[in-house]
Amino acid sequence: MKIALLSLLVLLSLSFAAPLIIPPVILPSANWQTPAILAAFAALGVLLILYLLGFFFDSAEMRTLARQEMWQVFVTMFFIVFFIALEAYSSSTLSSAFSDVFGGAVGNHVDFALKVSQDLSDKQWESLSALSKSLTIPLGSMASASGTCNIMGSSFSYTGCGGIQVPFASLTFATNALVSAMLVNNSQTFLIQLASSFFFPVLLPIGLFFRCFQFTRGAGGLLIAIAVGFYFIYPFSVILTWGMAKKAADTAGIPAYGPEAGDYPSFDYPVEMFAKSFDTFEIKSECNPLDMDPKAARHESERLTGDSGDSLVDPLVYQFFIEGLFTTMLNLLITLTAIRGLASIFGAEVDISGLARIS
Amino acid sequence: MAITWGDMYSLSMLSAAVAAIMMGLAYAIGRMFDNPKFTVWAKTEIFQVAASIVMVFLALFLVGLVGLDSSASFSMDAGWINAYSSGTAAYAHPAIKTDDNVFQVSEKYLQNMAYFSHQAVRGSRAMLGAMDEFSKYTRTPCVPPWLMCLMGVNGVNVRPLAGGAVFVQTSNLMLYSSTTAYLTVLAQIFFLKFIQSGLVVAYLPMAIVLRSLPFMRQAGGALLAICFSLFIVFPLLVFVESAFWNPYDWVASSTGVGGKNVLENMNDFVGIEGKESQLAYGDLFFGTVSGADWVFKDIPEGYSGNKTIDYNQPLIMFNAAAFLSSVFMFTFNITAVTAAASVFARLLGSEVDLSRLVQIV
Repeated sequence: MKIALLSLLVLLSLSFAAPLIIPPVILPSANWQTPAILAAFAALGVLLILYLLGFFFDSAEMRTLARQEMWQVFVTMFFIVFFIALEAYSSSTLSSAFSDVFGGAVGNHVDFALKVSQDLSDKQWESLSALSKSLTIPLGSMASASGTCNIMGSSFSYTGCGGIQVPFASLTFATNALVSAMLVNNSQTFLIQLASSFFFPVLLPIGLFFRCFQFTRGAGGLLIAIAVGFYFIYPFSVILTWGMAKKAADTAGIPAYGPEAGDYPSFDYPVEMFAKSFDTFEIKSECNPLDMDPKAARHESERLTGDSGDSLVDPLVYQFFIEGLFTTMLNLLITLTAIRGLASIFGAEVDISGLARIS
Repeated sequence: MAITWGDMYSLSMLSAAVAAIMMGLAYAIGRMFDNPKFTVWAKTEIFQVAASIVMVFLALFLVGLVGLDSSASFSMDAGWINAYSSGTAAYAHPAIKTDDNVFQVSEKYLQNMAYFSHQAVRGSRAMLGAMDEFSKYTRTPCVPPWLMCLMGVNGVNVRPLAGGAVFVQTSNLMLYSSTTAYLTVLAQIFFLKFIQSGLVVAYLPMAIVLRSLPFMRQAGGALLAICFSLFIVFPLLVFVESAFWNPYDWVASSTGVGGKNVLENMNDFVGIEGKESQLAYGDLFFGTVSGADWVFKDIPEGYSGNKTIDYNQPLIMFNAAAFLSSVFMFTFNITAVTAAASVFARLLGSEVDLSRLVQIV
């Protein structure tokens, strides 16, 4: 028995002599299986040494402890096989199933989630950019116009377009929220990348190793829970919430963002420092302060609340508040809740509420 | 007087000697009064002194391994993780050398993160400044110009780019988040420096003495656990992160504007590698200055040629990466340190809860 164990111990070291198949730069498709299996073998090696030391010191307790802990190596091996199977299943079946139901890219769950997140980010910027350049900025600029009459040193100014500041202020507030949504959505993209390039390929093997020993089982369980939570739960959550939001938008009949050109105010940007001729007494704009039109501001406000509001406000609110802010928060909450549950399953007793706080 | 790591060995031995003398005195008192409680207690506790010495020397060995003790003959360096990932080779602010030890790699990695976050701060501030200036540019009528504005400023005054003020607020938001990210990285650097040379150094010898006293054993074990988790786990975590998480790579692989990636966009925009673009403010007035990164005046031409507004997209992405790399990672690191301290403490028969450290973030 002892000789067999010693031989096994010698053979174990050979597994570390395998050529490195980890790519030089760990990117989404990182190879996590090799380090995970090596971690399990390393734990087995440590336990074998402990078991043999039990003979050396003639300590039955030490041998019993080592024997008991060896079950954890088998449990670890089971975890590895389970994760390999889950990843393969997600690539071959789950992602395709999600793609069939919701549309979108096909690949493994991480690639799918990344694509969803990046596409959403691009779509958000497209809408925000169009809104800003076509509506918000012209409105703000128009609101700044004032008519001036200057005769013999006396002057009279009339800020006839000043009321447009009201819809402009609303749009400024909205833009702030839209940028917040974009920040959160881009953070989600980077978090998925972090999970696939660091959490799973690095933390999982370390966690599996630690979990094989009684005293470090808690820390190991926490690391496994974080790795699994962010690598499996989080991307699936991203795909699911995106799909649900997409379906809901279709059901509710929320149109795509895209007001017609006529829905935007017309404002000519006079960029030269000084007016060059008498023609420039006025500017080419929907609101001319010299007209003294009392309904100018109301007319511009109606761009947000009138007929064009359906194709302007509704899609924006849905795109940014539901698809942007709400779903990203939901994804993080689902993941952290799952991590909490997984951590207790894997034997950890550490509070991860700190991670939840930054959500 | 600064305590060096070399002194730690002497201090630890001295502490062990003090603890052993205390045990000896207890044993002598027990013999003098013929009280077996004292003699048995002294015999039992002397093993705890031995156990503490072993733990402290193990800790000192690990401290040497991570490079905290420069006189250690065996230590880990960047070459260890470069075998698995070329991540550390990608840093340039400053560059990480293969013979840098764990603490040096960790510090340089954090400096790279600080540079990254600072670039986000600069980008946000540059956007804030540009939009603020654009929005305040006023166009005044001067009629007729060929007669030196003899008829005064009659007509319409307008700030043609006043609408740009909308991005002043969003830039403020980004400036806030990027500054938080920057400060968090700086906090990590100083946290690392504190570990490297702070008061924690004195805990190890103290832990030996405390662990040898029956009523103070838990406190001594807790001190040892804190030392383990702070000296070993925190720098090791940052060390490993440096190889496997590089936000520069990610922003460089994200598409920005103008056919460039996000990193190139940011370098152009904040002018760290191309300061001349900042001079293009003159475009507002004359429209002839080259380096049109700041051009705002193309808006009327189909609302498509505005580069400054379009730079918001890479800026938002860059800010998100900076926030995640600093605030999120710091929270994660502290959570891991808390878990490690708890595990070590349990191993030493005491309880430690460092979860309040997360509140630093």
